[in-house]
Amino acid sequence: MNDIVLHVADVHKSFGGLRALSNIDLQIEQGNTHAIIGPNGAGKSTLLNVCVGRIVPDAGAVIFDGATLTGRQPHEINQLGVARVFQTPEIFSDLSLLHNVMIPAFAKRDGAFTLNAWSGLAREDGLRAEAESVLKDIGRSSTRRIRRRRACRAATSVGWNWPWGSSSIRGFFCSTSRRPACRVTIPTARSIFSRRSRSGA
Amino acid sequence: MNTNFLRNDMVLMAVFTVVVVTMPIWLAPIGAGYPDLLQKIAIYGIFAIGFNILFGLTGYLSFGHADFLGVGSYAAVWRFKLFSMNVIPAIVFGVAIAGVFALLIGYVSLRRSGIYFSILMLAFAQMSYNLAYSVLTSITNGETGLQLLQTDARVLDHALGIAETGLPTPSFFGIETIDWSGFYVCAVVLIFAFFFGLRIFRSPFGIALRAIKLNQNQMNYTGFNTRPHTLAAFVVSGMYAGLAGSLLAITDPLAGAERMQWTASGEVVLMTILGGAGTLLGPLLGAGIIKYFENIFSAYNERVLHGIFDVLPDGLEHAVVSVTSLFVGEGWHLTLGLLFMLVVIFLPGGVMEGFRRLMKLIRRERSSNPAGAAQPAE
Repeated sequence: MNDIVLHVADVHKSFGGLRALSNIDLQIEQGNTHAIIGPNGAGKSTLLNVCVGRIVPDAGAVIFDGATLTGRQPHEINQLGVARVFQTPEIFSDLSLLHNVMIPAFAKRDGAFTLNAWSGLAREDGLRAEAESVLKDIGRSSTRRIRRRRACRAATSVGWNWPWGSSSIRGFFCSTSRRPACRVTIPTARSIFSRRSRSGA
Repeated sequence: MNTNFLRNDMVLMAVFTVVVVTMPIWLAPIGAGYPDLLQKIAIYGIFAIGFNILFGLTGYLSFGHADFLGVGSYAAVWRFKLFSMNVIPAIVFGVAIAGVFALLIGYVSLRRSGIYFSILMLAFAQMSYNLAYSVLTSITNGETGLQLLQTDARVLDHALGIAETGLPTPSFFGIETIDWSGFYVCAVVLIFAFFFGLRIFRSPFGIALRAIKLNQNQMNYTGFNTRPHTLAAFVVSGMYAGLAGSLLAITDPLAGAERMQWTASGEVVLMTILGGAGTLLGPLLGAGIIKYFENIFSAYNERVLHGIFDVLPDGLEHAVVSVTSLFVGEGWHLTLGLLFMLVVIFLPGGVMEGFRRLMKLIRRERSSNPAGAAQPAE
C-alpha cells in the first residue's frame, strides 16, 4: 500500500557551520510507527522541530496529507493535524486537569481563533464529557486543581505507567484529546513517529 | 454540577449587585459615604476590572493603560460639546473611540511580550500625554483641559430645543448625573461591567487567555493562534478603560491630559496587584482600598493630627505629629507604598489571597474540631 501521510522531502538545515540535517528524505505511511534513532546531536529533535514548524528548514519541504507544512505557523500545522508531544513538561500548571484537557478540544472544535467570550464554560457539556472520557481512559476523572506532581501521583495511583516519564503528561493529553492524525513524540532516548488511524479512534 | 456553576455565578451577581447598590449605607460608618468618593471607587473599579483582563488573565503588564482612560474622557467630553448632554451616547462614543485606539496600539505593541511590551505601552502613553499638551491642543485644550462652554455647538440639544440656563450638566434623560444620581449611574455601569468580566472569566475564551498567560508557546503548538486572542483581550481591556474615562467625564465634564500620565497608569497596576491579579473581585477591592485611603489620608493635616494626639505630653506630641504627618496629606503615597510593600511581601496574591488563607484557616479549625458536624466538601 502506498499511503504516505507525512513526507519529508529533501530537507536541509544548518546552524552556522553545523549541518544538522542534510538531504533528509523520509516517507511515513499511515498506520505505521517509525523510530528515529541516533546519538546526541544527530539532529532528531531538529527533524521533529522542522515537522511541527518550530524550525524553518534552509531547503526542502515537509508535506502532510498533500499540504506543505514548511513556512506555516505552528498553530496552522497543529490545525492541519500534526501534534508534537514535548519531552519537557508542558502543562498549564494553574488550570485544572479538566481544563488542561479541554483546551486542545476547543482548538479542535473552534479552530485557531474564536471569540467565544460570552458562552459560559458551564454550558460546554459536550466538550466536558469528551474531556472527561479522555481522562477516564487514563484512569483519572477529577476537576480538582492539580499540579504536575499530583498529576503524576494520580497516574501512578491507577497503575498507569507513563511511557515517556511523568513529565509529558499534558503533552499526552494534548495529543489524546485532539486525536491528531499524526503524533510526533520524543521519548528521552529514542524518537517515535506514531501514526494513529485518521478516523480519530 | 453544571447547574451548580450557573447558580453560583447568579448568586455572586446578586450579592454583588446588592453590595454595590448599598455602598452608600455600609460605607457611611467609615466616613466614605459620600457620592464623590463612591463614584471614584466605582469608576476606578471598572478601570481595574478591565486592566485585570489584560494583566491578570492574559499576562500582559501594560504600563500605559491610562492612555485609554484619557482617550475615553476626551471622546465623551467632545460628544457633550458637539451633540448633546445625554450620557448614554457619550459613554458609547467614549468606549468606541478607546476601542479603536486600543486596536491600533495593541496591533503594534502586542508583537512583543514581557518587559518590552510594558515599556512600549509606557512609551505610547507618554507620547499621548505629551501630544495632548503640545501638538493636539486644538483637540485637548492643553493644560487648561477640555471643558464645556456655553458657546458649544450641541447640535442635537439645540435642535430639540432643550433650554439651557448657565453651563449645562450631563444628564441621563433629564436626570443630572451629579452627586448621588451620578453615583448610581456609575454603580449600574459597574454592575454590567463586572457581569461582562465574569462572563469572560468563565468562557472558553477566558480559559484560553489564562493558558496563554501560563505558556503561550504551548498554546501555539496546541493549535491556537494566540495573536488575535491577545489582541481581543487588549481591545476589551482598552474599552473598559474608555468606559471608565467616559464615566469620569460624565460625573465631572472636564478632561485633562494628566489622566493619561504614567502615574495614573501605575495606579491601576497597584490597584490590581493590591487586590489580587487574576481574581474576579481583587482589582475592584484594590481600587476601593486605594481610593478610600487616598481620600481619608490626604484629608489629614498637622492640625488634625495635633487634635488626635492631644492627650500625649507636649514634647512627645510634637515628635509623634512630625513623624506621622509625613504619612498623611500630601505624603499619603508613603502610606500607600508601605501598604503595597506589606501586601506584596506577605500576600503575593493580594487581598484576595488573604481572604483565601483566612477561609482555609477557618475550615481547618472546623475540621479539626471533632464535635463539629461540618465536613470538608471533598
